[in-house]
Amino acid sequence: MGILFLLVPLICLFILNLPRRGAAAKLAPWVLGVVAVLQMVFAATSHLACWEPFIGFFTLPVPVALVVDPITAVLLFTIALVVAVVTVVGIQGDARDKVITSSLVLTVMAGMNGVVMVRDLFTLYIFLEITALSCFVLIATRKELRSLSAAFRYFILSGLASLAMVLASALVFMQVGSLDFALVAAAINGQDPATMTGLILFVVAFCIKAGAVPFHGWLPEAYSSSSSAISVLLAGATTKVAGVYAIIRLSSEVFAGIPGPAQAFMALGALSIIVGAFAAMGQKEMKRMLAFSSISQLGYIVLAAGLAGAAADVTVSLGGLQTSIAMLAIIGAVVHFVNHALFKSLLFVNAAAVEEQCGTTQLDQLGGLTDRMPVTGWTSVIGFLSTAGLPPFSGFWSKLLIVIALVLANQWVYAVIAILMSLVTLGYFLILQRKVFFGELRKGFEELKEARGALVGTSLILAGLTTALGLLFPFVLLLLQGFGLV
Amino acid sequence: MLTKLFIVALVLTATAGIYSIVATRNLLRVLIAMEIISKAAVLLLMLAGAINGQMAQAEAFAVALIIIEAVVTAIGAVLCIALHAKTGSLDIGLLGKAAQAILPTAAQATPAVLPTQATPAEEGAHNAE
Repeated sequence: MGILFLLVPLICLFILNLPRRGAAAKLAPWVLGVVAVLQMVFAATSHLACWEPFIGFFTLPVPVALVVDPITAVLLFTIALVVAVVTVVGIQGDARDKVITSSLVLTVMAGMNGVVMVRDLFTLYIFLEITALSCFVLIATRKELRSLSAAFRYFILSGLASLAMVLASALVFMQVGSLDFALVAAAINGQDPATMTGLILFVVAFCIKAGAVPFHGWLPEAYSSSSSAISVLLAGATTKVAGVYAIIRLSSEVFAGIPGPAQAFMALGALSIIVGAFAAMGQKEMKRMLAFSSISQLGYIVLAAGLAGAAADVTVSLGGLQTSIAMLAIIGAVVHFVNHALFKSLLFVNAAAVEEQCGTTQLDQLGGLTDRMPVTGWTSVIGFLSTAGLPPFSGFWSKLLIVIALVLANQWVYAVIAILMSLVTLGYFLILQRKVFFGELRKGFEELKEARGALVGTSLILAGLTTALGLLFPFVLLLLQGFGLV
Repeated sequence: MLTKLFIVALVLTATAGIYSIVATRNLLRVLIAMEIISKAAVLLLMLAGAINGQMAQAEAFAVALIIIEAVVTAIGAVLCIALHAKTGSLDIGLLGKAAQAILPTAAQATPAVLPTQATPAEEGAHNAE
């Protein structure tokens, strides 16, 4: 099954580059859309046996295990959803730009699919590099000095993270003799100095890739200087898969039970929540504010991932449900991952709508846009209420799961931080909403129209998904239970 | 004996790479320094293979690593060339916030609107004039 998720984007990449430029540029959105829909279907049905007879045709020339377990299937679905949003938002530029950018989006997609499916450290490194390298070029395609310098800054930091990861893998390989997740998890104990160094390097590497707080220098510029569609891709999926998903997987499977990395991830996650939220408050530009909000929200996921590693197998009974704290934390992290992809894509789509209609995203040049752009204004409200974790929306449930897991594990300090910072989230989004959408219409915007249909439609669908996921969450939990989770 | 030699070479290479990445202000040299550190990583992989006896696997990792490094360097060089073509400089200060204040091209970041479509903001500016 797994191999399909690599082959489909790569075959479509090949098809996209067969015809002439002009034809290929017209074809590009359709190809991206087809790939995204196919991946959604494959991911949703990956647990069924009906695909098995077809997989025999495709075998890898190298013995790399690609596993699709329930968590992977959920993430594959989310990746496809974000790529679909990118397709609808639309890639700007001339024919050449369109073909190149679409090809790179397909490469990023294949890279991300690889990252979520692999089960050994060196292949993980290879897929992380594929994803990151395509991202540097995607950020730089806008060809302004701002995007070029953001891309180079990301390049240096991500390059150093990759080097740290290779050095750490080599140190672990020296001790264990293999880099397979299961074998490393069985053999590692975190006692001797070489492995300790390796673990520290791993923590640093993945925190840089994720953009967690002391290592977040590249993230706001990369998000805010790239074009609208690309910032949706980066914020919704890429950096989360490259950094945060890797932290979830490694912390809960490979380094489970070793206190060092788990404590480090929890502390850095909490720090990201605090610093991201307060830094977002001081921003003067819409996309930068959303980027800092991203840092704050990924802090929640990293915190939960660390908790999953720290409280490995303490069983608890919750409303008649027998589960472990680690499982609760992983579910919280994965659901928050999905929610984040939904509401952050929604907010970035709205930022794109504002940028297209007003020509600026500076907060002090905007005001009262809800009068002229009602859909954009009100879907933003849904997006930020979900981010802040208010009850009817999906963000509430994932934050609730994370806080319950923290309380059950007796991590009261972290639980209090998680709850208080949700209030700060509400605070900075109220600033954003008041300066951009509410209040009196600013002079010069009398002629303003609602954004084009594609953007409005995407906003409505994403807002609907956020609300539906929130209202139907008990059924979602039952579904996850059916998959063997919880 | 050979192992000790390996460790000395490894430590020297890694130190040289880390020193040059900290000391230089030239983006191209930062790229070269990253390459030097990655050579240390290859050495460490081979050392690991020699110590645990899994030499074949270590060689496979090292070859894959060298291929990836070539791609990384190519993309880094492309970004360097683009930055140089844009600004005529390769100073590391280009990556900081100061660059946007110094260089005029960065200050007037063009919004992603179609060129034919006058935005309301611009129209407002015209009216004011």
